[in-house]
Amino acid sequence: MTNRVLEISNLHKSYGDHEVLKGVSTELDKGDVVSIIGASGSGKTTLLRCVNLLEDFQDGSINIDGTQVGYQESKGKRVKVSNKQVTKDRALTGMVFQSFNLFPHLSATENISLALRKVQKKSASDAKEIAQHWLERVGLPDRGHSFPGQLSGGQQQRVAIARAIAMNPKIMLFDEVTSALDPELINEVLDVIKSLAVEGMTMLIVTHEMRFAYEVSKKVIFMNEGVIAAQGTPDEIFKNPSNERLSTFLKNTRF
Amino acid sequence: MSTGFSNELWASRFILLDGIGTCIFVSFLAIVFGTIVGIVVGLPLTYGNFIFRFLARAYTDFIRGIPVLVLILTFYFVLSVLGLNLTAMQAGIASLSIFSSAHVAEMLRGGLQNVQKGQIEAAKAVGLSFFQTFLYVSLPQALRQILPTWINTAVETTKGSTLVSIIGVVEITLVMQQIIGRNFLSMEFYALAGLIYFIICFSIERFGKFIEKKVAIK
Repeated sequence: MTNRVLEISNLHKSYGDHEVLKGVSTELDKGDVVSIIGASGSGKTTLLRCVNLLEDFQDGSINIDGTQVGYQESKGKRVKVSNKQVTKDRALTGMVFQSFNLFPHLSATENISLALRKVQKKSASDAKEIAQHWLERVGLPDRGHSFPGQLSGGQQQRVAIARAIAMNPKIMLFDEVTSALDPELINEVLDVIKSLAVEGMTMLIVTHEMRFAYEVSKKVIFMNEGVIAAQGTPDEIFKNPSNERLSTFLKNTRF
Repeated sequence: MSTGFSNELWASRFILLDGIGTCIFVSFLAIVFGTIVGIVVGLPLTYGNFIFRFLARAYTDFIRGIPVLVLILTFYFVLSVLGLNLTAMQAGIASLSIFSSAHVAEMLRGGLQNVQKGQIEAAKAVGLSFFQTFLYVSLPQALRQILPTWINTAVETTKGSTLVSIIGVVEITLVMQQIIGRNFLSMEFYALAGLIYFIICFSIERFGKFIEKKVAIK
């Protein structure tokens, strides 16, 4: 019985002639927290979006919990699965976005319970209970009735985390979730993610917060120009960078 | 107010109320049917493949390029030549519905396409299907956004209903012409017609503002 939750092999992704991912491979076991760092345009967000099937990719494969997602082999050819299957595959992952993307016309509770009711077909009361549980878990027990416009950025992002994780995904994907936040609101969000890590949630995190990546990760991946230029433990990456591009990158970032 | 006018007004009260009733009836049905047809056309206009989108686009552009009066005359006179005999009332309601449907379709497309991409991605990410995303995420946001323009179309349709008098539907305008034909008080009764239209349209607009406030995103 393997504990492998995510396996990305030889992933290639292009927008037209521009190749954004040039053969990326990595894997995460259950409970692993892996951070991806790198300059803007290095392909880290695209990689995350491919795992969530928000982007097509031209070659390579992604396996989540033993299931190949997005594509399948048919008569020796690689074909995209049906939209219905894509929706199913997507349920294996939970995604949190840089810009929160909460539904503005729904309260915090409704934001979380909508998919529980419509996708997982839970009853309204069960969904509400689960929503309340996760609101408490992200430190917002009494903000269930609030609408996104009535919450601070940090609170919105915590609701967004609750919305994703309430669906009980195999792996959580975080895409620069603190980049749109005021500095004083960053920690409340990072603290939530850290506590999830402690509880053993498998997570793939794209971040510009180097100290956070250092503290929370089991493995850190440095991406440069569409490839994994370096990877290793936080100490290997941050204390003894072997790669020249990585050294330059770290010199120019805040730790 | 001259006694002549008040006497004439009193004498005409029943046909006047009938006229107002007809105006509201025609406008109301035209707005309801127009909205239903508008949604049916607006969906392929937004999400359809090339063929459906082309057909929906052709419909909206064609209808929006024709004056309402021409639509009314076409429905009443041309369709009867083709064997479809509509009463004046039916032709009036049908033509106003078609008129407003093209506007509803176009505004629905605008509203749906204005929903932020991040909203759609977030809906996908939590596992909602295309239809669920439309129903629970895109549509509620689009409807709120198009509400003011929709109210505007409702007002335009109501004002447009005055034109069905030309094919003999006895609504406010035609009633006024009949009354004036009897007493020649044209200034007084046309002013009254204006006032009645204003009250109806102003009420629709206020009602719209009320709903807008009710459903506003907090």
